[in-house]
Amino acid sequence: MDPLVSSASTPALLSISNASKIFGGFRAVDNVSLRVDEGEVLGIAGPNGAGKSTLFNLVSGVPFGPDGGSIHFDNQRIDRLPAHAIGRLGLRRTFQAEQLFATLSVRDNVLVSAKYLGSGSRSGADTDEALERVGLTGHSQALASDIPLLAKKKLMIASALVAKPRLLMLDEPAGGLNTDDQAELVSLLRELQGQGLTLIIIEHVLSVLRQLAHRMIILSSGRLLAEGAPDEVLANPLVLEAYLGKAPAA
Amino acid sequence: MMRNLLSRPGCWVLAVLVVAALPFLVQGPLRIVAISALIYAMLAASWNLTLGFGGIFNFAHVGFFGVGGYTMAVTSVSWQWNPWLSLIAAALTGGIAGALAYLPVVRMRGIYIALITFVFVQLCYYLVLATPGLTGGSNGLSGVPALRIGTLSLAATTGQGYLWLLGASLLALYILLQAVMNSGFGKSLIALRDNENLAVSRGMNRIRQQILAFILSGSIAGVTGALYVSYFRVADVTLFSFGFVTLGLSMIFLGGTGHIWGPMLGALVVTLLDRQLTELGSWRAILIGFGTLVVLIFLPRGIAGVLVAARSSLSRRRTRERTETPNTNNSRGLSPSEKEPEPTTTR
Repeated sequence: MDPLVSSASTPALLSISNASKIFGGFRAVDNVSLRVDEGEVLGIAGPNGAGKSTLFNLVSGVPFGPDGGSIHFDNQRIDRLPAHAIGRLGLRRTFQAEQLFATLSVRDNVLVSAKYLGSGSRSGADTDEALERVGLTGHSQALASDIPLLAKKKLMIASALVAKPRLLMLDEPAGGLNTDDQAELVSLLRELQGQGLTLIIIEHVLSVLRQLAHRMIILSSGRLLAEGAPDEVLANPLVLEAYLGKAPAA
Repeated sequence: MMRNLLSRPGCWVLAVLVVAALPFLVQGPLRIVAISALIYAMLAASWNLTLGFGGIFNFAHVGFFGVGGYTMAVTSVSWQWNPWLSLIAAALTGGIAGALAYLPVVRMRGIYIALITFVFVQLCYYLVLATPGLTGGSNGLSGVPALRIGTLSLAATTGQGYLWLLGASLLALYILLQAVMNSGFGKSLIALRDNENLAVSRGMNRIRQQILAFILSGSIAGVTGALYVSYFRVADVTLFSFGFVTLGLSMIFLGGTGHIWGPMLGALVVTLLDRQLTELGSWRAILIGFGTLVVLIFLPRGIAGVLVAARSSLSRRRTRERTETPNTNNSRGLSPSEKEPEPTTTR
């Protein structure tokens, strides 16, 4: 058992043990183990092709699960569950590019998610609350494909916030945003974390991770390269080598 | 959001009046054209549930139509059932056919679904030929009784009753599809079409939702096929012919897949065109096929899309003229649709 998993005294909200995904001869995720505790913000970084988004895919089951290893969420094994059932347990994700139901309105994007994620709110109160939490109430009747980039990012988050989420996995939420919009997004994520939501954030914009993450891991070539506090991890020579290709001169 | 076509009481009254007046508006040889158009409108609108809103290349729909037609013929002619009971049976067999057609394509996407579902229609065709004792084989089954209310046949006075029944059925189908597409189920079909990965991650079970769509659309197609056979009094293997497939697709794409009434309008246009071009023989199918191609290339949203875009544009212009205020959108760029929302795809 990986030390990250075995050393914990309290049960993790999410624990991944030796998860692997192989495409032909390519090991996209290679025996990765990690745990995430309730209320924590975990940052994940790494060069392109490191296996970050693939790791999200394995956890969420969308569009595929792991070839090996096991994944537990809230003490329940989820790597053998159908993907649609995993979201209903309270484990939610967003995607790298802006993934929306483009021909539905903003409100309908959230409403349909609420219905199938198990929201008991028939009146749509849950939907309206989620839109309000991310500041999209004013856009609710607009077509999802017509709203600006930051609003699209927020909409992906809003559709994950309905029906009592416990863990939100965000895949490059700040990608393509200008600095003002990044600041607004960081503020929103801080708010969500303050309300008790556990976050895992994949991000290339390291300043965002520095501001938000309690802990950070670096993936490289499908493996866990480093783990620790953000500043400590980003100063790690192995990490610098993975990003820059060689260790800096002493 | 754009209101649906029947959202105002006046529209309701108008729709009911049009249905009531159909036999008086349509006389003589035009009645058969009108009845055909109404039947095709039901076929195309129900097909659009899986093809347009579901985004599934389902070519099996004509099979469900034929299964319903043969259910009507076999049960009412060979088994002497009451034709109304046969109509209910056609809804059941159409729905079962829908489920059976979906099962082989559960794991497939795109063009493979088109190929397999088309094979389903061919299987139905050969199944009919292989069971002449039940279906009449290549001769078909004739002498299908017309639907009756008491002693009054709906076929009396050159199909006056059928015009009422089909007009009312089309109106009811519009209302049903409107309710379906405004429900969570309808929105989940669009969500799965727009972005399957996101939809699944938001708890939507693709297989369950899509099989339900196949069952529902199959059931409606089954009833439509039964009404067709009941009116024309005969069921034969041409119900499963490629001609019905191309005709139905022409209607859907010409009318527009994004709106419930699009395929209905397409059915009316294609049926009228088809009738006008009868003297051209085989050339009429070529012309209609070519016309559909032109529409697909230049008007991908069909006639309905063009009409709705024109209406939205006009509405925006009126709003602009009325307010006479400059654009006050913020720098993050509210789109025009937020000021004057575009119609959703479900209307």
